[in-house]
Amino acid sequence: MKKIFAIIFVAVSSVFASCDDDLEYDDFDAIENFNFLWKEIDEKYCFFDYKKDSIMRWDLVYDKYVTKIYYDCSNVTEYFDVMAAMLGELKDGHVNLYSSFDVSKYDFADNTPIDFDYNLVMYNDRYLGKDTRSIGGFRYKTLRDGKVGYIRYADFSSSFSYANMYGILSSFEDTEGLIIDVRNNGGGAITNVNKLVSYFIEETTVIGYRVNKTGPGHSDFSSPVAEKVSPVDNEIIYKKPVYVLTNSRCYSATNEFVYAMKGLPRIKILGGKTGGGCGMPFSTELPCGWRVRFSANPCYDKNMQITEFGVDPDIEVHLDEELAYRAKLDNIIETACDYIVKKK
Amino acid sequence: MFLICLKMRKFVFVISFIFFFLTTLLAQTSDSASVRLGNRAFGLGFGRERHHVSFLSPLLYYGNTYEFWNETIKCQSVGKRDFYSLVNNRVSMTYMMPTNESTDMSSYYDVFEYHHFYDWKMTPKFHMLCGAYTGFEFGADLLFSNSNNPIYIRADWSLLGLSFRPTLCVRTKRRLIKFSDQLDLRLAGIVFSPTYTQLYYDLTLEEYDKTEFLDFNSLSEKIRFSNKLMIELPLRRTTLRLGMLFERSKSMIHKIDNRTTSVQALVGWSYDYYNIKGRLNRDSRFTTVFE
Repeated sequence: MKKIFAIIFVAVSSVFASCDDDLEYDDFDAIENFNFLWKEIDEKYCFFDYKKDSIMRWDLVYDKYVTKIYYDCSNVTEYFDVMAAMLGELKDGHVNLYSSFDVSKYDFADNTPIDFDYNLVMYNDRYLGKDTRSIGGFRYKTLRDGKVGYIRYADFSSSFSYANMYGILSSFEDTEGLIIDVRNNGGGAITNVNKLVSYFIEETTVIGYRVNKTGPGHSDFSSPVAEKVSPVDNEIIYKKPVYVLTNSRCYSATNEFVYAMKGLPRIKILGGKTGGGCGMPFSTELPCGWRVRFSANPCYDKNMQITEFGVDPDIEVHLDEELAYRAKLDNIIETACDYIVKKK
Repeated sequence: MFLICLKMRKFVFVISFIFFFLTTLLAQTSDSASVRLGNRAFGLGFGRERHHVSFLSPLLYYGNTYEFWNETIKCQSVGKRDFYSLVNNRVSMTYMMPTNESTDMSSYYDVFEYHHFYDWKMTPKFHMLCGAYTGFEFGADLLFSNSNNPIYIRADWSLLGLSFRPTLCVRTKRRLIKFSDQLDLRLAGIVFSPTYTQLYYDLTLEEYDKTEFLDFNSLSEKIRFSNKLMIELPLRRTTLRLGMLFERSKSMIHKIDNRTTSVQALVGWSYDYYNIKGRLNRDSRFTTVFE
């Protein structure tokens, strides 16, 4: 009995004795904020192991940038730029530093083919132009005399309903195939990815695997868990060939949509390699009030491969800018149409 | 017609008289120990809270907390021994900021606890209630400036805790003042929590074993201690209850650091109540639940 009371006494006193001093920070100390950012990323960022051949070791990154904090920062803007440059070493489009005056970004599609001309697709009557219908983030139309259905989905944050999809797919009943154009779609909600995939499968399908970080070590991960999608009502499922158009600006949720669709029966990915971004972002903040977002939980495709650096298309086609400029033709859409109407 | 009405009034009067007389007789012949008393109290609390949950932010947040609380304590006699059951419910909301004041976090939660005490009568005026409690806390911490992790669900089922409530009744010339101090210490329970940077999205995956969100823990992983000092002052026909609540909890579950320190002033009213049997058998000696 005495032992029990002693344990309780020690436990209670430890609660009182252990104050929260370890959580007290000097809000505007430059080095303390820098250390804080470095440590948060060190403990929570999920791709250190995967990127060990393509990025600098994180402890060396600290050495490189801490000297810059000491010697190269004379004002808050320069300080922000040094912190942003440090995060840029991760080569991850999901990593951002938010301050009251700027947001840092890593350009994941730098030095890659653009493969998309917005004006050409949106304002050219051959593609979307005037006679276009739009609902729930989709713009859609039939091309090639009604033989090809075309859907432009520019943002996975735009939600849609069953009724929306029923309306769209019903209008494509007489088509020979469908094009889903997700070029320049920078991502959004994963729930919309799963929802959209469910209109193109006929049985419950594993679209990928999820893993979460279980601790501060670079290799602390849980075992993978399959992410399954079940088909919607059988009457509405589109059972003809589908071509998903991609480019290097397809990122995050769009990247997931592409790897979920890749390999499914009747579905081909056409265009350029996607931008990647297969980490689930997580947010935290610094004592100075700036916020940080980074990849914390990796997602794998159905072959247990990480697609952080993108998904390769089944048919690689890049935009012919000369043709686009002179003949107002998007050769990526044209190629997909040709495949559908069997010209190729 | 008038005669019928007159007879009717007499009849009602006689019946009422007999009923009243009989109940008085019953009260006189009954054993006064069978009178069952309880005490109810309700009121508001306001104070300061310091909160940290590493899932949302690595910083410490400070802010004001407000709550509505109510408490019911009831006596249950078994032979010559008295036991008390106490039901405590608190609905709290807290608005907090870190020291840099760049963003704000809010917390909404409900705490429901059931305590069972043995009444250890050290002196006629001083009762040491010793027992155990079980209860749950359910709510959420919200930090909407986060993108994918804006919410941390507070779900904790305290399976067992120790509880003490020494109570002292002091009778002045005309008034009875009651002091009590309730100490609770959580011993073991189950907490619902994601792991480290895991997102609640995993709960939507069919293949995911949802029980991995549950953690059975004891003092080594989660400790929660609260101390509620109360004084009850009769004020005309009501009884004013004033108090001070100190609460501290600290846990490291699924590598998520969670700490809360809260100090609140409590203001409310309390009143004794009787069940129907007790009301009929009410004895003037029973002026309070502990006396």
